[in-house]
Amino acid sequence: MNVDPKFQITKNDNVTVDFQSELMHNYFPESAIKAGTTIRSLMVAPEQPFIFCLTTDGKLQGILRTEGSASGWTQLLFSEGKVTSFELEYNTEEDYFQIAKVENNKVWISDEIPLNATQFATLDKSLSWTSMEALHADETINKVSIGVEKVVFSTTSKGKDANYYVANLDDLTPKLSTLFENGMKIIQFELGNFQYNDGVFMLYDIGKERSFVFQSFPDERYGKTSKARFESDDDVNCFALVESDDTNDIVYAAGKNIHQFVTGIEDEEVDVIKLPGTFEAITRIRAARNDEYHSVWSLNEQGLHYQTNHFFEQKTQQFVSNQWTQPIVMADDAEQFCCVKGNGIRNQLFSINTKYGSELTSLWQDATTTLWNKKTLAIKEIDSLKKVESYSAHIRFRSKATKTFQGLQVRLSAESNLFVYVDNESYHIGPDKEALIPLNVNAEFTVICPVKELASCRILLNADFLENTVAINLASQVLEDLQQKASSGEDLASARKQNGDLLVPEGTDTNTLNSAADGIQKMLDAAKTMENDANGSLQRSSFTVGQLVAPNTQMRASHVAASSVSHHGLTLGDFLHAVWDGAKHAAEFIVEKVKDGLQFVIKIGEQVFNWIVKTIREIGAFIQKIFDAIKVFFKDLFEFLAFLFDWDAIVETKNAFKEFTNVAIISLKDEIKNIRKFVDDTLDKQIEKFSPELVDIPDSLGKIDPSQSSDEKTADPRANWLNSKKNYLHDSSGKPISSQIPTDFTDVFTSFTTQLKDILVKSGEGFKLQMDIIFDGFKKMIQGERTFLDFLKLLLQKLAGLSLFLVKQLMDLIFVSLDSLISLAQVGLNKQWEIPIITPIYKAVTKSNELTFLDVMCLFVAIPTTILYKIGEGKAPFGDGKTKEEFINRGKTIFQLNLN
Amino acid sequence: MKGNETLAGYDMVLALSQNTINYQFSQLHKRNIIHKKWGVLGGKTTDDKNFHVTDQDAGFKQKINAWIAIQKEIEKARKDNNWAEIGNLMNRVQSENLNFTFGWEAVLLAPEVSFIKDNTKEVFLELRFKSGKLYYREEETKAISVFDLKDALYVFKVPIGQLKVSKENMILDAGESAKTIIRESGLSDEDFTIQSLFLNFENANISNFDTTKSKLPDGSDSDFQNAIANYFNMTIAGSGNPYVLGYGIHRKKIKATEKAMFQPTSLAFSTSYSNKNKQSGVFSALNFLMMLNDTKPPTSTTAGILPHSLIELGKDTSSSTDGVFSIQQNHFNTYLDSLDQYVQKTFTNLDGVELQHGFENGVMKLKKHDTHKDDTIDTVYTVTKEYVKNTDDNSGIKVRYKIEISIKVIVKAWFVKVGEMTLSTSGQYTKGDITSKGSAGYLDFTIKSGKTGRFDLLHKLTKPSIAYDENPNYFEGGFWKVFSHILLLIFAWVFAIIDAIVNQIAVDLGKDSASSSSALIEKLNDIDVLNQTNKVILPLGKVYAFKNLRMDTERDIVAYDISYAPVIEK
Repeated sequence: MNVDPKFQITKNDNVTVDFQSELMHNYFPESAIKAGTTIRSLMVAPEQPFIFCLTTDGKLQGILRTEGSASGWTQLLFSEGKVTSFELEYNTEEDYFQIAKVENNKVWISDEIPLNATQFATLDKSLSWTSMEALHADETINKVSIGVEKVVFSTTSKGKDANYYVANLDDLTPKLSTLFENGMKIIQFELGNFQYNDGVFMLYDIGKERSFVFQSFPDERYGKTSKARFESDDDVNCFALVESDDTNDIVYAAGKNIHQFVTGIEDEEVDVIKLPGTFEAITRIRAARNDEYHSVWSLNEQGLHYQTNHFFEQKTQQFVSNQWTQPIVMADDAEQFCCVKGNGIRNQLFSINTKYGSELTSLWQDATTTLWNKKTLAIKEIDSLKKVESYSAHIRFRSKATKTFQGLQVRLSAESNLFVYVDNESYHIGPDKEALIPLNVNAEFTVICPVKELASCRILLNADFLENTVAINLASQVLEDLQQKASSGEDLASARKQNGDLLVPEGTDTNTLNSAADGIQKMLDAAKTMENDANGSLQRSSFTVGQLVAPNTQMRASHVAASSVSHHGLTLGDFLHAVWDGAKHAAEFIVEKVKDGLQFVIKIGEQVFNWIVKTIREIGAFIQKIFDAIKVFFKDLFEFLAFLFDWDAIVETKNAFKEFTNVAIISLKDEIKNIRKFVDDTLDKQIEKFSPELVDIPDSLGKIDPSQSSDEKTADPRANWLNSKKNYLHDSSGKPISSQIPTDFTDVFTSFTTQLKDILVKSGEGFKLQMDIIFDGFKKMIQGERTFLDFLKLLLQKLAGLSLFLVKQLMDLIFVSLDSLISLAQVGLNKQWEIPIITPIYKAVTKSNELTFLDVMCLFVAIPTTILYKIGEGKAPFGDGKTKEEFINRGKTIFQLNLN
Repeated sequence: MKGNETLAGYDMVLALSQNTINYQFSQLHKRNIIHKKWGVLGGKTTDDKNFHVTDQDAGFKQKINAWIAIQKEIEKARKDNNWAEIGNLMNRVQSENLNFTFGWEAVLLAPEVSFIKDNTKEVFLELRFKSGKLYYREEETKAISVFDLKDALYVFKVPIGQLKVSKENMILDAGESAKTIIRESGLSDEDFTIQSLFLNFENANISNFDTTKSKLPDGSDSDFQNAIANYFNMTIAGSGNPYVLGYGIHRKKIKATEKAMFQPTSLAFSTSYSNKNKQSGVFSALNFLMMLNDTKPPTSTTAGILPHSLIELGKDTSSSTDGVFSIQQNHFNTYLDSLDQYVQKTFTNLDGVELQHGFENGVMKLKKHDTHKDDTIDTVYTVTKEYVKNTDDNSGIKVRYKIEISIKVIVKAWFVKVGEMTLSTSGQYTKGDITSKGSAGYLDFTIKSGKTGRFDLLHKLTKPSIAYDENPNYFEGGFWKVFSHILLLIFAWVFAIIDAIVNQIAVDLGKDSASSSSALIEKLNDIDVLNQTNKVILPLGKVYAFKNLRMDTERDIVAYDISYAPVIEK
């Protein structure tokens, strides 16, 4: 809606920002994804990844990041049947990509998909495919690989050597090629360039051995090919290619070790490097490059490993590229993964695991803090619900000016990269990444930031109407609580979670607890110093944290770290993500204020680490790790510190509201003849006065208002918890609201409209518009968005312009309809209603199996009521039965027109 | 035809196609590994010594121009009979170091070889000029002739037939430490690379050019020859220079391999011209002629002259392959014999099994004597090598051993024989626990080319079964009663042997054999075939890949399709 700027709030209107952030549970929709054989992804726009993988029934699906949509992701299908192999090729020079897939024993090649001129959200409908087949019908096509100019596919046929076909993308005429050895089945192959020749890298079994070779395409003059065989210390299970600047591919071959092969320039030698680390058999490897910096990701049974030549030299606090880090475990539950391709993208990837249902997880390194972030993706068209721990911040803008926030925007960013939900739309925010949040009259929104640890950075609010940037430390409340609750080892030992269990495992060494408490307090001081900039109290402090007790098997054993190798070259984020947990020794800390942040020196065993940290987020990560050291994990801290909903009390409140409303509707039905009489009388008077606005309708009608604005309350994400999910009522699946109303109501409307026809003929089309407004008003009343009185006023107002004769006729019709509607209302309002996200949450928390329209309306009221009441009064509103009964009985008289 | 004839007196021959050699030359050229440019000015110093200036010299271009200019002036002065001026100019030539006789400023294409019909000892090597100039000074007082080198072609013969590489030569050349290595290992894979082949062309007499095939700039014939000869004499004379024919190249370093079963100990070269399918590039071959086991190479006049190009025998002659490797059947039989030994050993390694005779005319006999109280059970195992033949698609060799068993049971009572019974794999009668007719067992092996010169030995085992040779129903009840007890023992003992062999082979040749260290493996370790299964049988595995192993009985050889696929490793 366009609002005249002169009615909009500006910088001069003394806008105040009211906010509160709480650690609490929140819910998001998620969709099941199969851990197929392949997953590929591409950045189609800045920060917009497009992920390709197979669905549970083997179809090819694309999952597109859609900023500002319900879950942040949209699913698109790219096949009708099962796809046995697929690949995508991104042409960096011309900025388009193409997909190749094997479906129905044919190879299908998509059109070129230009990144800058494609509507990705509808790509499934707009994309067309061309197919080709193998020469012989008995050949089974098992793999496809696509390059910028050519496409290759391999076939198997019983008892014969494998073949492969090469076709130019221009004409898609496959030409047969043979392997130069007796290999029966190609395990992996990819188009690439080796020693300045285009060709195919192939991995196949020959007898009992594994062969990893390259064969170029035949040259034109002699019809011959270049061939090379790559050998490493052990069998190669998989390989990855990364294009270098001089068109040669850098080859990574993985078995129990990873070898890197780099072609020499104007030199015959190929530089072969064995990367540090020895692994269990690696099943998948990917590599990415950003200029001279390479990242290598390798997957085996121990998890997903990461190593890089983006080597962080602690002495200089600079990165160098001539040394490789040891591999570290980044995700111990991944089954498939891919690195995101695209310009300048290095450390962002997606992994799938099916151990606990099925999860598509995004793992990415924040460039600012180097911290690693893990986030489970959810897709629109939900089929299940995901409960997440989060910081939820309710933010509200206020101004005394008699102007509106409608149509204004808030620019939301953060000190480091975060994926957040704002009123259940998903956004990516960061130091250089702003999300625009539109405001409406209410001028409030809830930012939900899913977390896996206590750490979080500050989010930043900017707007034209704000004089300064507003920074909100999402974790400030929690850190404050922590300062009080963990002031000493004794405190820690006696601290209990909200369920009554001890926070720290019983019998934990007192010295360890004391040192942990000391460490936590010092870290909190550091956080304060950081937040308050230069003038903090902390100058220098040191302490020791660690497993002075025997190592516990609960701790995640890091197979790589356990081998007492040096972890030099890791960034702080790498260290915290992967190394710390595996350390066997206590860690000594020295924290010191330096010019551009806080310097942390950490000594674990013989190893000394040294970083300068600049954000609260990093300190939070340290605090988390200190707790980890005393075996208090995030789950425990959450139970200790988070706001936990008292669902029993909320449901109790809701039930009271629900019964109240049911009673009220019955009374409305009884009362309708009175109302009708009142309207008739009013109309008669109006006939005399011709001015419906002058009619004085008793105020008592307006007493019941379930959607009462919470203007007078302070911002609180807890009270606003369900309200922040209201959007799901309207646009979760893009269906019009009418289709979400119980059908019985719709039937009444239909019959009403039909009967109206005659009247409309008499009154003309202009009247129909008025009626639409009335219907809309009625719907709003039913949905609790408008009071009955307001509706009545609207009705009379809208009808005023008509000839009174027609009005009388109309009112008769309306009341007949209203009568039947109210009869239906009780049934309809109590009918089960499937609302995305809200229904599953409701079912999950109340263990009930259905949610009615009325339940929803009542929940909207019940949650803030209960929570605020509890916070204020210390107990639930309907704690004792008597109060509840009285309240319900009030419903009987609520609609009575106290006209006397 | 005997294998010795097919391979012209040599034990093994690797035939590399003309197209492959040229393609590989083009790759070396494309990647700037062999130089693409000739840039040199050659002449005489004042004390009549050769000197030259290369294009690496910053003043190279100016030197050419100054040289051309001054010679022009000299020629003019001579025309004008201005001897004083000539004297001045000649002094300047000396003082400015411009006393050049020739200059090359040329861009070369990749060199090419072509093989010659009915000439197995020489190849044409073509130096192909893409563009550039040849500068030549016929006489001191003449102007410089400038020849345009665009599309010029200089073709000359390389006498590859004279090249010989033998262990003895190598040992003579090698340092003390390398001598033992060479003595033990034979020739290295390095000798079979394109780079080595190219280096071997060093022996060419460059000025011996072929007038019919060469295309020289008009009127340049003798100048061109002189300039080329001078060029090589000046710039690359002397050994140890990496410049061959003006192309700089180094021997490619190949990591040493373990010694192959068929390790060559000497190497010579010949060519085989073939115009099969009118594709001489595909079917003409350069032959690497090899001898095994320090045997002296043949010296007859026909030695190395193969009756046909081996590439004509290729099964896969597509772009993926580069030639054919052949070994005389009688040498390959060494391998097949080791397979016999292996089969023999799996039997004799088992307790109580006694070898009657090893494979004679393809038949081996073993026996086993068992007693039960005073009853005796005598078992004879007859193992017959049924065939050695190619697989149906000519991509491997199948070897089948047939196992026949005959058992004689003598039942005694009080040391007196009361009856006897024979069972065998050809027995026709069943009774009791023996429910099916006898049938022979089979050990089937398929030999296929593995990776880097290894063999892959696939196996399939069909168990034998035995039945009564005579109708057991004719035996009287008392004897049968005694015998049926023994029958159980027969099952236990006779078949335990077969089971043990089956298991043994599965363990030996199975996927995990390399890592297994069971006691039985230890026992069998001295058997060649086992060693060889996981080891290198064919030489040159670090440079060539082998495919489609098959026998050619007509030519008495074993052949493979080969591909030039050097190993890249740390």
